[in-house]
Amino acid sequence: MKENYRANILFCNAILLVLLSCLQGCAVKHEAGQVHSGDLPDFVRVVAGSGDTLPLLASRYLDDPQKSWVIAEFNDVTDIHAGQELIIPLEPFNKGALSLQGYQTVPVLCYHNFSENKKNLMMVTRHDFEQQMKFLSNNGYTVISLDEFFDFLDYKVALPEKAVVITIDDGWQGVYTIAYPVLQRYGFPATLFVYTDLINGNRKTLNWQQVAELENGGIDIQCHTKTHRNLNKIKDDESFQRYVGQLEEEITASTRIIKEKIGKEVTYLAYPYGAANNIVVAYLQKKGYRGAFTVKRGSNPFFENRFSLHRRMIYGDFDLQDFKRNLKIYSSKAIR
Amino acid sequence: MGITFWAKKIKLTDRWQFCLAAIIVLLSLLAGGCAVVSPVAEQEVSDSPLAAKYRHKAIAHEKRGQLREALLSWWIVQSYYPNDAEIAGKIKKIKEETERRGADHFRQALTLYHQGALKGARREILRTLIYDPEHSRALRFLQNELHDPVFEKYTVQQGDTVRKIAAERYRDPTKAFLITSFNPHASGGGIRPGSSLRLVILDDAVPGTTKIAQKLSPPQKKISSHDYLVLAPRRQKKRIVVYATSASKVREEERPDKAKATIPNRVYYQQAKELLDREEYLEALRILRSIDRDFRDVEKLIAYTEVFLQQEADAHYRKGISYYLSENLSMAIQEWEEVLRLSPEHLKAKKDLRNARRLQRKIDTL
Repeated sequence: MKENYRANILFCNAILLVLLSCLQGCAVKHEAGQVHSGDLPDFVRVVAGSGDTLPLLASRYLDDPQKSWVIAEFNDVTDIHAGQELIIPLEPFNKGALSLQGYQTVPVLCYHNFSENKKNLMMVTRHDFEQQMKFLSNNGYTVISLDEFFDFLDYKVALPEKAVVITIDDGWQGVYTIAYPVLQRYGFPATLFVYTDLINGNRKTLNWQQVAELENGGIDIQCHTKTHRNLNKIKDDESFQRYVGQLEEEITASTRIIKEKIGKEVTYLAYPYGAANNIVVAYLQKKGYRGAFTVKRGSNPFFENRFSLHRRMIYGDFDLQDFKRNLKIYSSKAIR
Repeated sequence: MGITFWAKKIKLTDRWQFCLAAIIVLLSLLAGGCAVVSPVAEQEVSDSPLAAKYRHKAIAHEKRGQLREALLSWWIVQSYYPNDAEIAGKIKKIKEETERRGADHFRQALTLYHQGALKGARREILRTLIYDPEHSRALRFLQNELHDPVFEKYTVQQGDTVRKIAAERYRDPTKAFLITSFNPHASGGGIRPGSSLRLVILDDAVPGTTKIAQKLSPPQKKISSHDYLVLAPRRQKKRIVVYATSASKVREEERPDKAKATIPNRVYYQQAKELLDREEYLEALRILRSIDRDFRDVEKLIAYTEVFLQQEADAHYRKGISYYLSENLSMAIQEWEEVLRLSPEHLKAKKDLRNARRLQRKIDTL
């Protein structure tokens, strides 16, 4: 009798399980459906649940909460609510943001030094830098890393519509005392191109301990040569062969020193004075560099020459209007 | 009948038989419900605002000729109506059309490339990618063929040595080290006829190459920075060289006090002159304005540069008008944007640009 009772219970439980599975199946089918195609980006249709946010959905479907912009831009929304139906592209749907009207361009901002109050062309005050970062943060700009930027140049990923890169040249003390805390507060990544001879820890320059701290704190350390010589100029007492040897040394030595001091393999370079020529590029390619930057004004489309990338110098005498003019994120020039 | 059989088999009581029957009936109802709900759900889905939105988008994109965007929107709509033959037909038709257009633009790109029209070739490659974003040949072409090359390929001939090749290609046999540096297998005379070498191309930013070029071509009049102020603007030579001197590189603490004041002036002045030589007038003006007015001929250079920029702005303004009259709105906007870049307070350009943008927005929404 007892055994029968147990068998009955088991049988009923099995039926209930089947029943629940059926119900669950119905619910899932209604909430999300993934669609595959050979040559169009896969996407999933989702109905947002209570408590869902864009970063949560991005984390669930794109494995990265930072990709919430993908859902926001595709659905043209800034926020979501429970019951809202959304399309989530599971692959980049327009890698160069290329259309008949134009294409995306990424501005790469170039700073040099920072100070509390003193300003000149190469020195931006704390107040101005703070205002500029606040402007980016409040106006929907996404500051991206150099790796993300180069993935865009490689046509591997799409970027947020208002993507921007921040770079700083040389290695002055103001980077550590002024720019770094501001960047940290806004959660912005940035790249510091150091020329290794400058990292001597005198009153005005960084030391290697600070450089390592910056690297660990999210500032990407990259190469700006060893001595900061103009790579296009031959010295009066220099033979052509010695000049070429020195070019190679500028790249090789600085790459090696950064590796020795902070354990970082650098892959990007900023040309001193923005000047370069084919011999320099050839050596960079030989050493496995992924790209290099000039200071030629302009923003970069995905098809830009990656060893002649444009940057926009942000001068100390810029007001916010000047700064805004340097954030060009779209062009149609090459397509007309 | 079946229930009674199974109930007997597992020896259920009447009460349990009743429960079991009830559960099975409920299950059947739910199963039926699901079957019935499916069309209802599909109906609900069919009426989804998102489906309607993407259908609307797809039609709008099609009208504007944005076929790739239309295709994506139809693709999303199709997920709501998987059995709709009309949508499937549309998708097939647009796909074929985008493929055809992509192939046409790629052919055109190759033709232009072989004619040496690199800008046109790039434009056509970009159009190829608009219609066919994964066109691998177009992509490879864009990334490898349309930038200034760094290397050229050289096939070794019978009797070649690296010195001989350097003498021929670089006009200087002592530059043979450049060949071995980028072709390690070529050192020690180890080159074989038929093998390939990568020769770095000495662009005119490489020191000394201008002299080589001067030897090979008739001498030209050297243009001073002052001459630029009275010449019409020319297109800059395409090359990697750029400018800008970092005044911050001057370590003031290492200089004698007396020199402190003049060093930034001198550095900025030199930088401004280089920028003028490179026709970067806006940058030059910005730097000139940061130099003491009484330093050398700064006052005069500022005045000339301001006049030149105004003239250049006016020329762009007139070009904008001409584009506007020929109904090329986007070019007109571009010209007037350039005017405001050169002369931010140009009132006519501001007004016309505002109107043109408004008009453009209207056209876009049609």
